[in-house]
Amino acid sequence: MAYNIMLYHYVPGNSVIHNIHPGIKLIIVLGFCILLFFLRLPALFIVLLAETIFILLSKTRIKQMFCELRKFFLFIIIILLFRAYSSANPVILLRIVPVPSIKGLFAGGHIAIKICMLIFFSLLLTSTTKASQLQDILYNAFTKIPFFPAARLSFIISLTIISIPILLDKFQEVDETRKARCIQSNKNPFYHLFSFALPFLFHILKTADDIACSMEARSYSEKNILMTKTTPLRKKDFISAAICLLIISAALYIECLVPVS
Amino acid sequence: MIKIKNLSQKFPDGTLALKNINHTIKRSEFIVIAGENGSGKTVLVKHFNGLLQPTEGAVLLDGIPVSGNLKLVRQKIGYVFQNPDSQILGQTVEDDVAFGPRNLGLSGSEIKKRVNYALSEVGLTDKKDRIPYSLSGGEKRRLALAGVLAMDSEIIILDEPFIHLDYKGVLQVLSHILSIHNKGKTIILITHDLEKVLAHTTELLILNNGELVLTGKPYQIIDKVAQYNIRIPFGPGRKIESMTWLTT
Repeated sequence: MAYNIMLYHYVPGNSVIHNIHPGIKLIIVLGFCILLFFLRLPALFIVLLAETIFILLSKTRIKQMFCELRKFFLFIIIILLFRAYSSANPVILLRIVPVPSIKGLFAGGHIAIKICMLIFFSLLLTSTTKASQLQDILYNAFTKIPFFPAARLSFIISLTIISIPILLDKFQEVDETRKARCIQSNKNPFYHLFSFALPFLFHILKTADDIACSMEARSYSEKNILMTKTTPLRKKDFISAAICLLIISAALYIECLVPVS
Repeated sequence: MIKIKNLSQKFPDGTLALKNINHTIKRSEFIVIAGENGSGKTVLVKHFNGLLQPTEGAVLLDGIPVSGNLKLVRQKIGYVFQNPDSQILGQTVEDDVAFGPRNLGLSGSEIKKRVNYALSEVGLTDKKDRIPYSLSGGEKRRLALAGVLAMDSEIIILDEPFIHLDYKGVLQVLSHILSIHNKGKTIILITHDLEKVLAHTTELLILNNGELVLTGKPYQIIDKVAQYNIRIPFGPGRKIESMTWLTT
């Protein structure tokens, strides 16, 4: 079942995006994600276009990527509504029903698009970069910070990415078990919450224990880890970085042209 | 050689999981450990790999206490767990097999060499770029086996390797286990399904309520196993040589 969960799953491939140096890829993605926070609509389209091209170039399962977005659907809707109602005065219909104004809806939609783009950027990174490559890159970066637990933190990040499919698998398993035993017939929300949370927590702890045992049996220890040398930067990595820098500059330029409302 | 000396294990809730176990496992043997659920089989083998610390007694590997040199012990004794999914520590098959050798601090070229060797041994070379979760149950078991082989372990512990596998999966896993054993590796296998593997076994250990109650060549003790709630494969009077799922 975990195979069907594509979220934050590495998709083996040999595309242009797969072949970019993981360090460069990480910096580019971080750059775009930071940029998303303060870009407004005309400039945002440039980043959206660039992201679409990157996704197409990565040759990952695009359709499934969109399907995975469903998992964030509720979260995005809540943010959209909250933003829509809070950013401009809602219109009160018939003196009873508050409806967000066009301006509010626009602001909510703007945030929702940004969240979707953020999710796609992170999916693009994790689906084209192995967790072990990320671990090496992060380790090399963290070791430059004095007194920083580089090995531990880089491994935790990589293990978290690896464990996402397992956790989602357990989530699905517990949920289906509840449904198979007619949880729908009980209307008490607290009962729903507890009947899910307790077994799920137990499963997580059990899985974490199994994984820890398996790591221990395969000699995992921070002291033992010798990171493999990361691949050196090649010409195409510099070209990729330069192209992305151009896109970021263009987006920033357009952003500067737009008057502050 | 693994020597178990007066090994006892008491859990914090007071359960005595192992009671004064003494035994010696020689090199290149094919050991099968059987016993009813909760008899202490997994607890016993976890001591071989240093995953548990004994309450009393000790496990010695070539004369050295297991708890004294865990890095060496875990390199020499590989452990394949019951659930293959919780052993997946890489995002591709190749990456997962490389996890152990990386921890041993080997060079990149040596890691690659070992990964290629281990994958070819278990017949997964053509699947090295696949996502581990996409493999079948039998292939996941073989992947777990490859992870241990890549560490160049001399002794391999397999905890219920046939559980949840179909006929084809059992045959694949069994033939690879035998092929590895034929290359001189010691195999310690926990199973309830004696009829699948007993023909290849050099020694059978029976555990009951944490005690080692029977040890010996399969033909010497097979008639006594029923009293410990283990089914005699295909009824009494059956020859040990026929107790395998491999036909050739």
